[in-house]
Amino acid sequence: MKELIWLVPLLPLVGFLLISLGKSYFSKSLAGIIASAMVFGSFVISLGVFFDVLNGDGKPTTVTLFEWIATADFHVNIAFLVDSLTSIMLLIITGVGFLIHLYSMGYMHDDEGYAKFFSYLNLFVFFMLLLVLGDNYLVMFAGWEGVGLASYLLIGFWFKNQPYNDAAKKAFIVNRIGDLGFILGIFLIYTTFGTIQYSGVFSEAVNMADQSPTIVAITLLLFVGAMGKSAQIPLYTWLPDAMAGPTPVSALIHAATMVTAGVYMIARSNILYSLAPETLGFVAIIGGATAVFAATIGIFQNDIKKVLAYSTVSQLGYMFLALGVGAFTGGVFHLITHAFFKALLFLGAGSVIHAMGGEQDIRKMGGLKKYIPITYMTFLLGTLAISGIPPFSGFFSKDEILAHAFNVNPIFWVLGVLGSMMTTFYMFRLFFLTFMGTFRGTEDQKHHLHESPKTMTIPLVVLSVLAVIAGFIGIPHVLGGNHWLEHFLAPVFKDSAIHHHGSELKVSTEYALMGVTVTITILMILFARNKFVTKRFVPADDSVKQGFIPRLLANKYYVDEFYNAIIVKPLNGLASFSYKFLELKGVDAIVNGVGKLVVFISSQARKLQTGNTGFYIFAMVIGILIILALNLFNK
Amino acid sequence: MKALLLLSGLGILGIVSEILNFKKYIYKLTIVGLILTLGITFLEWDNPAPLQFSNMVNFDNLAISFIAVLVVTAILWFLTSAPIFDDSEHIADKTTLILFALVGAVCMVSYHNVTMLFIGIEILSICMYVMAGSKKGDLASNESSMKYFLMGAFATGFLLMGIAFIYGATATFDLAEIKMYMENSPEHLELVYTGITLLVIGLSFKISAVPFHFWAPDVYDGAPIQVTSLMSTIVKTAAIAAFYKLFTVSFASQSIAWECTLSYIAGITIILGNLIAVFQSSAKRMLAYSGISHAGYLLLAILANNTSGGNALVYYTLAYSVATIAAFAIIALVLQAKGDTNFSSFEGLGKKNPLLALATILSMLSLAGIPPFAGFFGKYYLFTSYLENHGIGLVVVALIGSAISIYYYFRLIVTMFKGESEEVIPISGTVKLVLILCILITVALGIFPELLNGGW
Repeated sequence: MKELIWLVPLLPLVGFLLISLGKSYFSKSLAGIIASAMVFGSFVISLGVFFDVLNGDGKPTTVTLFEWIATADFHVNIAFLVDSLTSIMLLIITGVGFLIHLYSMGYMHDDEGYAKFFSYLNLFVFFMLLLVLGDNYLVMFAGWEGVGLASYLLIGFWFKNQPYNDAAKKAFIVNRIGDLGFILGIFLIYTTFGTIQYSGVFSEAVNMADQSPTIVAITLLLFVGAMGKSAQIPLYTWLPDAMAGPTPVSALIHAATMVTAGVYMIARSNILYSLAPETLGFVAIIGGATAVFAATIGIFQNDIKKVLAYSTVSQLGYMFLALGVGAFTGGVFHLITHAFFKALLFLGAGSVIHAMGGEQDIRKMGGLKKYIPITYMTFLLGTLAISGIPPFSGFFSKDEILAHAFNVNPIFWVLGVLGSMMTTFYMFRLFFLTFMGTFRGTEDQKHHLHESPKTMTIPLVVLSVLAVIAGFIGIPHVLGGNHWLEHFLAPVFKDSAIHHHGSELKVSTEYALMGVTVTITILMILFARNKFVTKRFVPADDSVKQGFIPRLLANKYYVDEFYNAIIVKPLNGLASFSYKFLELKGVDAIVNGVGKLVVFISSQARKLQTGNTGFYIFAMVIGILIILALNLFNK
Repeated sequence: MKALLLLSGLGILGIVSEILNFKKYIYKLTIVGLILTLGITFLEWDNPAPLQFSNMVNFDNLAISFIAVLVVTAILWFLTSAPIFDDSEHIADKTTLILFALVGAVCMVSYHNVTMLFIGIEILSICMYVMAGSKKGDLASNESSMKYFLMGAFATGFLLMGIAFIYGATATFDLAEIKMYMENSPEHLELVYTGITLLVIGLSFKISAVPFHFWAPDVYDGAPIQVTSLMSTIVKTAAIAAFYKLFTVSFASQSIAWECTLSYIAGITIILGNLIAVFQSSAKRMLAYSGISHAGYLLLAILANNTSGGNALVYYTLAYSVATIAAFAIIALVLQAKGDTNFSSFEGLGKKNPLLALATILSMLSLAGIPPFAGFFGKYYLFTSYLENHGIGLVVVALIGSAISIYYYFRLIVTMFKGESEEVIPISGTVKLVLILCILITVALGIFPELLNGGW
C-alpha cells in the first residue's frame, strides 16, 4: 500500500475542494458524508501502510511525488517518508479524525455552517497528514502552518461572536511566535547541513561533535516552535481560549492531533536532541513545569471544556517531560493513549453540552448519570484512563514516563506525580459534579435532557474501548509484557538510543514507584468522592468573594493580564506611534509630497504649450541653437 | 518589395474607384488588400536578395518586421475607423491618402538610399497634413492641419540640409557607402558632424521629441480622433524605424557626434512628456503627451546602437501600436456617445461596458509597462538593449518617467469605476472584434515575449 501513500493526504484535500466549491450545489447532509468518506478512505490506506511497515524490514521508505522548489543549490521535494512513527501518526489522525467526523454529523446537525465546518475539518486533516508525512522540514512546516490556519478558521467558526474571533486571533498570533522559532531553526539547519531533508540532516548530525553549540541552537529554536503549537509554558495561553470552537474541533485539533505536532516534531528530530543534552534538560523542565502549573489551574475551573483544556496542556507537559528525559517512545506512547482518552473526554463533554442545551458550567449540572447513560459510562472510562488506574491505557504510558523521569532525576518524578495527583483530583471533581448528585440546572434544561444520537454515541463507545485497551501496546517488562511499541519504534530512535545508556531501574524500585503512584491516585479519587459526592460540595458562584489562592488559580495566575501588560500594550503603543507619526507624518507625507510636486510641475510645464505657432518655432530655434552649440563647439 | 507595389496599387485603385464609381466598395477592398499585403510580406522573410531597385530599397528581415507591424496596425486602424469613411463624398480620397501614407511609411522603414528616406517622409507627411484637416467644417481640424504643415515644413528644411551636408562630405546617398566612408576616418569631419546634427533635429521633429514636440499636442488634439490614432501609431513607428536605420547603419561609427545630444533629448522627452500628461483633463490630449514620452523611450533603442535595439524596437512599436489603437478606438466611442473626451466622460464605463473597460485597463497597463503585458517586455527589451553598452543613468530617468506615467494611466482606469453612467455605449461588431484582438495580442505578447524576440 505504500505506493498509494499520496492518496492519504489527497483524499481530504479533494474533500475540502469538493465541499467548499460545491456546497451550494448539493444537499447539506452530503457534505458531511463526503468529508467522512474521504477521511475513512485515508484511514483504510493508512491501515494498509501500517501493516506494510509492520511486516517490513524496519527501513524507512521515501515516496517522492515531485520537485517543489529547484534553485541553484536549494532543492525541496514534495516527498513522503514512511516509517513506523509516521504510520502510527497516520492511524491516529485518520482513525480519530474519522470518528470525530462521524460525531460532528450529529453534533453540528442544526448549524447553518454545516458544510463549511466539514470543509474546514477536511482541510485540517489534509495539512495534519502533510505535517507527519513530509520527508523534510519544509513540508512539515507547510503542514504546520496549514493546521494553524485550519485551527484559526475553526476556533473562530462562529465568527459572529466577537470573543470567539478574539480567541481565534490569539491562537494564531501566539502560534506565530512559535513558528518564528521553528522557521529560524529550519534556516539554521539548512546553513549547517546544506539540506533540510531528514535523512540528510540526521546522517550528517551523527558526525557532528557532541554538544556542539549549533545543534543546541537548532534544537532550542525548534522547541520554541513546539512550545507554540503544543501549548507549553510560556506560550500555552491560546489553548484554553481555543475552546471557543465547536467541541469536535476541540477534540480533534486541540486535544488529539494538532497540539501533539510539537511532540511529533521532537520525536522525529530525536537524534538532534540527543546530541544536545542541554536542550533536553530544558525540554524536561518546561514539560514538567507545564504539567504541574496547568494542573493547578484546572482544579479551579468550572467550565467543562476549560477543565479539559488545562488538562490537555498538562498532559502535553507530560509528553515533553518524557522527551526531555530521553524517553522518546514514552512520549509517543502517551501521545497515542492521550489521543484516545482526551478525544473521548472532549466528545463526552460535547455530548453533555448537547444534552444541557449549550450549558458548559459544571456547577449547573449534576445527576446526569441517569439521563445520558452511554455518555456517563464512556466518560467514566476516559476519566479512569487519564487518572492512570491500571489496566487503563493512561496507566501504562504515564508509568513509563515516570519511571524514566525517576531514572534521570527524582525531581522530575516528583513533578510528574504531583501533576498526576492533581489531574486525578480535577478530573474526578469534574466527573462527580457532572454526573453524580442531583440536577442543579433549570426546569427547562431538565425536560430537555436526552442521550445524544447514534452518530455521536458510536464514536464515544469506540474511543472508550480504545482508551481502555490502548495501553496494552506497551506493557513494560516488569509486568511481564514485551513492550511491542518500543520494538516497533526502535528503528526511528536507534541512533539516539546510543546516547541514553543510563542504568536500568531495579525491578523492585519500579514496583515501588508504581505502587506509590497508584496508591496516591486512588486516595485522590476517594478524597474527591468524599468532597463532591458525600459532602455534596459545589464550587461557589463567581460573585462570592474567595480566598487568595482560589482566586489566583481561578484567574489562571493572571498570566493573560500579565502578557497584556508587558507585551500587548507596549506593542500596541509602538504600532500606534508608527501609524500616527512614521506613517502619517513620515511615509505618507513624503509620498503625497512627491505626488503634489509632480502635479505642480505639470501645471507649470503645460503653460509652455501656448498654442501660438510663432512661439513654438521660436522655442524650437532656441533648442536648435543649444544643440548646435553642444555638438559643434564642444568638439 | 511586393508590399510596396501592392500598397501603391491599392492607392491607385482608390483614385480609380472615384472615377469608375465603385467607391462604395473601396473600404472593404482596402481591408482585403491589406490582409493580402500582410501575407505577402511574410513570404519575403529571409529574402536572399534584399536590395532592390538599384539599391534604393533594402527589404531585409528588420524592414519586413517593421512593415508587418505597420500593416497589422493599419488593418486594426481601418477596422476601428469606419466613422470617418461614412461621409460618402470623400471615401475614395481619404482611403487613397491613407494608403499612400502607408506607402511612405514602408519607404521609410525599407530605404537604402537617403533620397528614398526623404521621399518616404514627404509622401507620409503630405498625406497626413491633409488628413489632419480632413474635417473641413471644423476650425480645430483646420488649425491642426495648418500648424502641422507650417512646422513640418520648417523641420523638413533641416532634414534636407542635413542630407545635403552628408552628401557634401561623402558624395553618395547610399547607406552602405556612407557607412564605409564613416568607418574609414572621414576627411570632412566638420561637414559630417553638422550634417548629423541637422539630421538629428529633423528626425527628432518627426518623432515629436522635445524640444521639437510643440506641434504634437495641438495637432493630435485638433485632428479628427481617428487621424490622431494614425499619427501616434503608424507615423511614429515609421519615423523611429527610419531614425534607427540611418543612425545605427550609417552613423554607427560616428556615434560620438550624436550620442550625447540624443541622450539629453531622450531624457528630457521622457520626463517632460510624462510630466505634462499628468495635468491633462482630456484623455485624447493625455495620450498625445504620453505619445511624446514614448518617443523618448524609443530613442533608447537608437542610443543602444546594436541589433538587439532593433529587435526591441519592433517589439515595442507593436505593443505600443496595439494598445494605442485600442485606446483611441475607445476614446472615439466615448466621444461619439458623450460629446467630449474628458476623463469625466469615462465615469461608469466599468459597470455599463465591461468589454470597453477591460480593453482600456489592459491598454493602459500595457502602456504603463506593468507586467505581464506586452508593454512591460517592450520596455524591458529596450532597457536591456541600451544597457548592453551604456551606463544606467538614462534608464533610471526612464524608470522615473514610467513611475510618473502610472499616475495618469491609472487615473483613467480609476475614473471608469467611479460614478454612474446612464447609457450603455453601443459598440459595432468589428470594433468589438478589434478590441478583443488587441486584448489577445497584448496578453499573448506579454506571456510569450519570446514569440517576437527570436532575433533575426
